[in-house]
Amino acid sequence: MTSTKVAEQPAAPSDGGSGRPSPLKRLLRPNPLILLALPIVLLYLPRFVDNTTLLQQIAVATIFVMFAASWDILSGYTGQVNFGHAAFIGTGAYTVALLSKYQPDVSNELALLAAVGAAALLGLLIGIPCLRLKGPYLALATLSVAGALVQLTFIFKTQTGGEDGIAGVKTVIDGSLTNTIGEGLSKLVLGPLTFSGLGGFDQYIYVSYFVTLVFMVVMVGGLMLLGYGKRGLVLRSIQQDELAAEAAGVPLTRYKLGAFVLSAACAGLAGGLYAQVRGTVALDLLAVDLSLLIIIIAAFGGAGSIIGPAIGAYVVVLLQNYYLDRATDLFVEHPELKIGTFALLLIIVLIVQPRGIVPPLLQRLSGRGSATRAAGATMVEGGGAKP
Amino acid sequence: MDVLVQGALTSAVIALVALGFSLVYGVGGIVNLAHGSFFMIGAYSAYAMSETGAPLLVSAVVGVLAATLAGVLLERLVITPIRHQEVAVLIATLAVAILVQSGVQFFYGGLERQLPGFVSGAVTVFGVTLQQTRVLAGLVALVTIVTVLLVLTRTPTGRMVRAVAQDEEASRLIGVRPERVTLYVLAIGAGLAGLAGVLTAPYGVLTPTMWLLPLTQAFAIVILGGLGSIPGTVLASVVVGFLDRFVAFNVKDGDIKVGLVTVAVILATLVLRPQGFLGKVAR
Amino acid sequence: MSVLLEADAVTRRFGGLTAVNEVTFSVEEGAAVGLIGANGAGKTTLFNCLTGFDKPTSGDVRLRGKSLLKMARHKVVKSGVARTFQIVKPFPDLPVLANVMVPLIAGGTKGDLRVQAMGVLDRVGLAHRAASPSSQLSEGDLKRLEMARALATKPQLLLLDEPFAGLSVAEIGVLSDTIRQLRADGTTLIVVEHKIGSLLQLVERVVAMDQGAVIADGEPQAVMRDPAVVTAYLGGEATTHEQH
Repeated sequence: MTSTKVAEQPAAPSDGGSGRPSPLKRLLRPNPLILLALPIVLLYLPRFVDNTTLLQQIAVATIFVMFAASWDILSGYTGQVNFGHAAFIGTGAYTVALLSKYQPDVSNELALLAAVGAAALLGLLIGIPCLRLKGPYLALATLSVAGALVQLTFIFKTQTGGEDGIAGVKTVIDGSLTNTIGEGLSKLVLGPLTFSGLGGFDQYIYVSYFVTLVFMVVMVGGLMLLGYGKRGLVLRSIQQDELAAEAAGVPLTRYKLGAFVLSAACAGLAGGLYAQVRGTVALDLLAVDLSLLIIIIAAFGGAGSIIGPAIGAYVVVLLQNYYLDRATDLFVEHPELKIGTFALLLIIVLIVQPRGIVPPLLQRLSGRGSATRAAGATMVEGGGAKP
Repeated sequence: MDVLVQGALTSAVIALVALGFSLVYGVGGIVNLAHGSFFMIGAYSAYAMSETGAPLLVSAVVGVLAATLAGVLLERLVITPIRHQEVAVLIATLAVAILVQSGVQFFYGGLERQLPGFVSGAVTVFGVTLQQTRVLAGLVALVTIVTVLLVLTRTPTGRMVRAVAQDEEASRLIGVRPERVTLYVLAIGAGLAGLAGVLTAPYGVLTPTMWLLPLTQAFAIVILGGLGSIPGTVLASVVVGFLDRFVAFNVKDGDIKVGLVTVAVILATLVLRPQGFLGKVAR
Repeated sequence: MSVLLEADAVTRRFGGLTAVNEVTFSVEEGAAVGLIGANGAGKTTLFNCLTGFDKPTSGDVRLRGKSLLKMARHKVVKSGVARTFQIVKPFPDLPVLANVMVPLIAGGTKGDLRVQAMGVLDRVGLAHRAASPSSQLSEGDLKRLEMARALATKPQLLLLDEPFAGLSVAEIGVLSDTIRQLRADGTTLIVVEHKIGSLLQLVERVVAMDQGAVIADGEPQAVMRDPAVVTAYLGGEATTHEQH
């Protein structure tokens, strides 16, 4: 029935080496040079930078890269913008911390798996009611769930420590897998003798640095393979027009829920790892501030590309945790002003340049909102054709 | 009986917050995630004034005015430029909420604060002993809501607001300017939320994150009652208000479980009836 | 010829309004059927019911005897029913080729998807725009893209909702050729169209609807002469409005 006459056609334009890359090529493949350069630069960075405070903050930023990338596979790709990503991160982190506190015999690897499972389950539980939700409903629902988890920590104050959180979580040094990876790479990059000669705390920083790097490269690599592959294309089509995607035969529920669960699972893993890197968990891992920070990161890096938010995370988090502190003492005395500053910047960017600085995210955010809202309940025609 | 009286009082205060949230959605199609911040601005402004030694009544008025002013500023500076970009509005207003939170934390720190009561002592109603501040809060809220409802249903201004809520384009044809109405409604909604903040400040606690619970409750009410539906909002406020007090009284550590129940209500409603129990299909 | 699609007393009510009323008809395999009627006659609602985008209040829709009503939308597509939208719904930020790759991926197509997507684009004459973002296409090209995306689901039955709306005479001519070619390739067609003249050159049967009900069904010339159809077209226009 389908008579294809490919032979008479010139090859798909994107395949030819004709100078300027086609939009398709740009869409489907990010620049591979950056992708390879980034992890290699990060891997060898400790050889040239011996400022352990900075390295420690890079390790934290690397964790945030995972937060942002996991947010992006749901929000940037399918357009289900999650305003409460901290719920998944916090669930992962608290799972690891509670296990470490009450079941110290459970290995760190198993604890991370439990973090993934718990977050994925939460993702499923939230994802189902959120399937039919758009824009404001989804925003408020995800925001409220994260808020409810904060309340939960207060209810189980004896276990979770309430505002004080849980300290003394088993760290990456205590996990055989994480310690092996971290120590192995430390010795590889720094040289075995140099590493052995370091103090315990410095060793811990180097191990954290390399462990987070490995986890990040695997997670971001995996998410990019997905995002830039066939499934990523389907996820994008859902974001562009759900009805059209269904008419194209896309099993909407499976993809939307799948993205929700995957996003949650990755965030849970990153959150769990963060707990093992910090050795503590606290309410900042569930707070709206964190959820907004991730949106800020994605907004500055460009959503729907995985790599954009990943790079955005390094910029924003290093600014937040390192460079701003060195710029003025005000930020050291009042750390809350940092997120406030970012929030202000975000507002200004949204107002002044709603399309400019962050094209991918904001293109989607502009104009088509009302059509997306209408498309849900009834067959309102005219969704999304023109900006 | 405890639950009934307290529930009624709480409902009135919650409705004060939810009414503005719902009206702003109905009129401008704007979901304002900074709505809870008006509640907080009202409370902290009143607190700040009372700290300077100003009379409580003056402090209360300043609180409401500050919240109203914040509403006007938010509408003019943030929402107007991006009004038709739904997700951008959501992100920007959440950023505003965090900005306000960070500002409050900067000036007042993270510690809990409390406003002195407007009235003190207890009163017994229907055999229930109540803090007078709670009774006062509930009564003022009730009177305010009734006034707002009367204005909405009985005056030309109110009809104009409802016209815009029903059909923005049609109302434009009869000479109403929806942008202007949005500004009014946001300012009034902010003032109402600010009033709720002021009224509850003597018995609630003031913290930089206090904006989230009223926002969540307003959301619960609005999805329960249907987005933009005024009778729905009022009725759902009663439901959430009673639930709030019921949990607070009958469950161990109930006060901190209130938020959790609210979220359960939200998720259950979303699963069972996404259009709300009273509203029409969400637009 | 065996029956491909059957609509059995399909009724769809919205509150008090009956948009589609007891519509019964069947379409033979390989046929090309035109569906006409004034605005508000219920054509689009019927389309939505036939393709799983709306659930009839009562009645049944069967493909080769198998009911489509309980199926999810993507299952309906998988079972061989594809549709286009009256107002085109491209994936605007995706290139044309990627637009067509989505249904191929969803259908679990094996092999080189780009080559196959190019093949589909070629069938509708859009291969030269493969790399353009679909937001840059003309209205006529968007209609083609819409059709290509439906074709990529490899349908047995293709429902076209006003394919000619908004097109110039020249564009209609080209698109008509494309549609005739689809028929020649064996695709069964149901076409909603207001441009009766162009429609009649494509189909050998016409179903006319008025106020949700079928008022005539048969040879195009006979249907167009049917008094009920004439009345509906000349008199019904002003009293109803289109349902979306």
